[in-house]
Amino acid sequence: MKLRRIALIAVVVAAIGALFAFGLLRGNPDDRNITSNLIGKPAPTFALPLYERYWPDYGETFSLQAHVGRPLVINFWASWCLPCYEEAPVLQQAWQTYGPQGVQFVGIQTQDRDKRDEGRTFIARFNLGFPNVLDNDSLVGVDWALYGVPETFFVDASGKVVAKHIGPVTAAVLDQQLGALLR
Amino acid sequence: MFDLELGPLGSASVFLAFGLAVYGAVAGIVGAARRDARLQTSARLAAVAGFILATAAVVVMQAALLTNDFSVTYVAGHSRIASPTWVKVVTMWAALEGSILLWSWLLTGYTALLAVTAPLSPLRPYAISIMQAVQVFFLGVLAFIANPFKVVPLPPLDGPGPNELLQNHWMMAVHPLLMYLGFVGLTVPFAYAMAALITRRPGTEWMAQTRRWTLTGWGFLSGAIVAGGWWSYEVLGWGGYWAWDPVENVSFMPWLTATAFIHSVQVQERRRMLKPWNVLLIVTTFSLSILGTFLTRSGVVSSVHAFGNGPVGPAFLVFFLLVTLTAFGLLALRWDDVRDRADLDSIVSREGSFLGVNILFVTLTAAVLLGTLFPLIVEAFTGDKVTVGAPFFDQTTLPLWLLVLALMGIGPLLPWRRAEQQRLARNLALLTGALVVSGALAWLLGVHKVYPALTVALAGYNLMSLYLLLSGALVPRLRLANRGALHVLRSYAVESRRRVGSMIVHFAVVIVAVGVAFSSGYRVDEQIRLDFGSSAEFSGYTLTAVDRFMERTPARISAGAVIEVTRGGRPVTTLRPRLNLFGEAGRTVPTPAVYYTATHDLYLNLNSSVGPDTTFVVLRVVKSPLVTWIWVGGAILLFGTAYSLGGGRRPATARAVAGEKPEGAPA
Amino acid sequence: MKKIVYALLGVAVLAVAGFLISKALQSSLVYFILPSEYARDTAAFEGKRVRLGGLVQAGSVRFDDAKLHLTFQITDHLKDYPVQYDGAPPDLFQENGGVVIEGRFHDGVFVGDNLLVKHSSDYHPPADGEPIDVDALKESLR
Repeated sequence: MKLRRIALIAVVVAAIGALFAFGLLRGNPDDRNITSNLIGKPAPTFALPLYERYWPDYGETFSLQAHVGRPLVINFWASWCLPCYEEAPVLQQAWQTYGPQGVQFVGIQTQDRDKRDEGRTFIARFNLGFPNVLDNDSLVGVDWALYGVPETFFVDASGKVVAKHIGPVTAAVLDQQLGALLR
Repeated sequence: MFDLELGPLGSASVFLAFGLAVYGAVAGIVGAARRDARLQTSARLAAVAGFILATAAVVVMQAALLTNDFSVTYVAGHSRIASPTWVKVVTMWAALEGSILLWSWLLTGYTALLAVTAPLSPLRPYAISIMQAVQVFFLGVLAFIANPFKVVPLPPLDGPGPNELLQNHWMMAVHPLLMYLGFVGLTVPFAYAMAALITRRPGTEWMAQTRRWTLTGWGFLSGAIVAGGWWSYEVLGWGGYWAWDPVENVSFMPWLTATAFIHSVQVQERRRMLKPWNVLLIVTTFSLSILGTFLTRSGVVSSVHAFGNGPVGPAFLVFFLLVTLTAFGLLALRWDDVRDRADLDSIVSREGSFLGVNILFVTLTAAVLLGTLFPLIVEAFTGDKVTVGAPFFDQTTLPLWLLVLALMGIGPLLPWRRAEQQRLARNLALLTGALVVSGALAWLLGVHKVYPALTVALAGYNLMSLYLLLSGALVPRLRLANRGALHVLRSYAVESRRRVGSMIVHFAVVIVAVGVAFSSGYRVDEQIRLDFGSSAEFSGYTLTAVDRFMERTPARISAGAVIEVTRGGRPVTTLRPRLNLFGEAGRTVPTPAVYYTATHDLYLNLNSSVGPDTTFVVLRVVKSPLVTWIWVGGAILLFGTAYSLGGGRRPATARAVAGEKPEGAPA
Repeated sequence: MKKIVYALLGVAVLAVAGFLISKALQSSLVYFILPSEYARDTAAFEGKRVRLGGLVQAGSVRFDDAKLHLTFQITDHLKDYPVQYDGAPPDLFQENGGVVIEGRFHDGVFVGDNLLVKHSSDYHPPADGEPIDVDALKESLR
């Protein structure tokens, strides 16, 4: 009797568990794998003020138009965003590898109104060699249909957006995307 | 300055508290099984030490939040320098890891309180051990799965801040706190019930020792639900307070079963019946509180309030299954000890009505659970994506609520065991009279919708019932005491806190029911376009958009409209609904403006954005009658619960004598 | 004897509750569909309350701010249907953005009363010749 009751309970609990396990495994939408509206389209252009340390190499304004013709990596970040701090050293490392091979990196500080000092501190902390600009009104972010920060876009030599990565980029992602672009 | 790393300090506290919980759970059980008093004492000391360590973890978290220490993951992920201080404090429970920290802390606090104050009994060591076993789960999740104290190697300069909806209203500081106090409070009777099963003592001992804990937990949970409703009303901008969203449902279900429980324990206390039923109810209440957390935090049911799918989902699922399997398995093992031997003498009796109310509340729970899980079931079997709309919940629960109101009126008037025909007939006649008169009155005054009219009728019926209860208790006392009516009332209120408290709570339920019936039955909801400088009419009011405004605080930017409200040419009030942007990221959240009155609320929400060159605004205007009475009723309900708990402990004998006579009729 | 009475009473209560519940479930189950799913079986959804998910077709949005009447085409790149909605477009409503709207179809026109904007709608319109991933769109909107 006792055994039968306990077995019955076990069966019911297992059924409930199976239902919820189905719910868990059902594949929640992972937005990271869903690509953007922009893929395959020309990259929205912008011209934004550069931070002072890049003036000698790039002038006071960075215009995307002027750099079309080489593979581009466009990274959006903000000073309050935790994952941006994780990926900044990765980006700097990749810049040192791929910059000499002709890839242009650009960092866009966005959703961070008037946070110039914080932007400078961020750049100095990671000693970012690639140019960084401030998108003070976050309008460029809107053009690029940002979902959040960080996001990284890859643009081919013809100026078309070929890929978007949501969340912190890893060396593997950069190697894979840039490998394809440089081939 | 000394160098203090908050992250490692917090982690260390959590890990140590986890270790103590493991030790306490094991030592308590072993100590009880071997009747080793020293081991039992050490387990109780571990409970106290665990609370101290958990408090340390909370203090560390608060210090990290208040000093903007972004080297602590949780702070970096959920706080922001510009937030006002109260928001920083509250940020601790604005996201998942922090809420688990809060939950764990309250759990250790209750366990420590239990370890210090619970009277010595064979149940105590087991109960404390079970509390500690629950702690092992929560602290384990905190330590190993969702550690909020993890150190950020490269701390950011600022953080994104908590969810916009949460920083938009101070009620958000209160609602989760109340809810966890409720859940944790109801863990105590669960632990005692398990202890009762383990020790084969399924009598009234476990519930007598946890009566206060149960009522406290229930009171906090009730408060949390009312507070949550008011928060929705003040923040979400649709002019309602309850949408049958899964997030709401999962906090509601434990309340339903807990309500059934606080009624059915009285049957066991008085008549030694419903023993297995009571165990079942408290186990269900506890597992539903875990299930709710699983459902809302794992993305298994889709909700308007998306919490996302964190890593804790599977952990909560496993714990839920484990609790359910263990508790029901234990009940099955002990079935022969627990089984009832007494039987109902008559269905028309106090215990009969308690049984009825139990069936109603369990049916309500089943309906809400079915509606919440049905989309998942359908998807599992057919792959179709469906939602169950609010009409389902309204159609199934409204008739049940009316039956609850009906039983609430008659039940307390029935004596235990068997009702006497004559008295019953008299009471029934009076109740029916009140029902018919108030129903007819409502109809004549223009309440022609079925549910509101029936609610008014049942409200009148319940007021008559309360009158009968009170006069039944007071009239004989007046006759005997030879004192003033006020004096007698006061002494009765002091003597019979439990009964008077329950009357106050039932009165509050009547008020809430009327508020709900009218605010949902007679709600007027419109969208109105207003050019600046022009006016529009809305159910007796004239709304004039006089101006727009912008506000900027360090934490938010807001833009809104200034709306002048007049009635019959006379100014009533000026309302300023606005939209807010917290921080640079994220979406705008509205702050509706509400004009509260006793008869109805006028509720304005801004449905269009306001900029320097906008010439008009779109307003959602809602008029809901009597909605304020829901909050008033909620407050009275809390007062009633506190009242029945207050006044210190009286000897058990005195309590038994006070409740001996069937009341509700002259003796 | 008494036991039988209680059992019968219990069964009666359960039966009534079960009846009420199943009836209410039937009438308030709201299917979540995409325009192409409606197109596959228009008769089945005609006049029934559904949640319609999709993207706002670029260039199709008209808002009459005097009457507070919003119309646009909703699409999943396989099919598109006109949507009518009384009220102002909500915050973050934009072309190519994902929306979920609750309402009913009447002769191929969707009349909605509750319009929600989905934030994570990064589903992209397919390039020519690319297969259309309807499931991904549906998942991204739920």
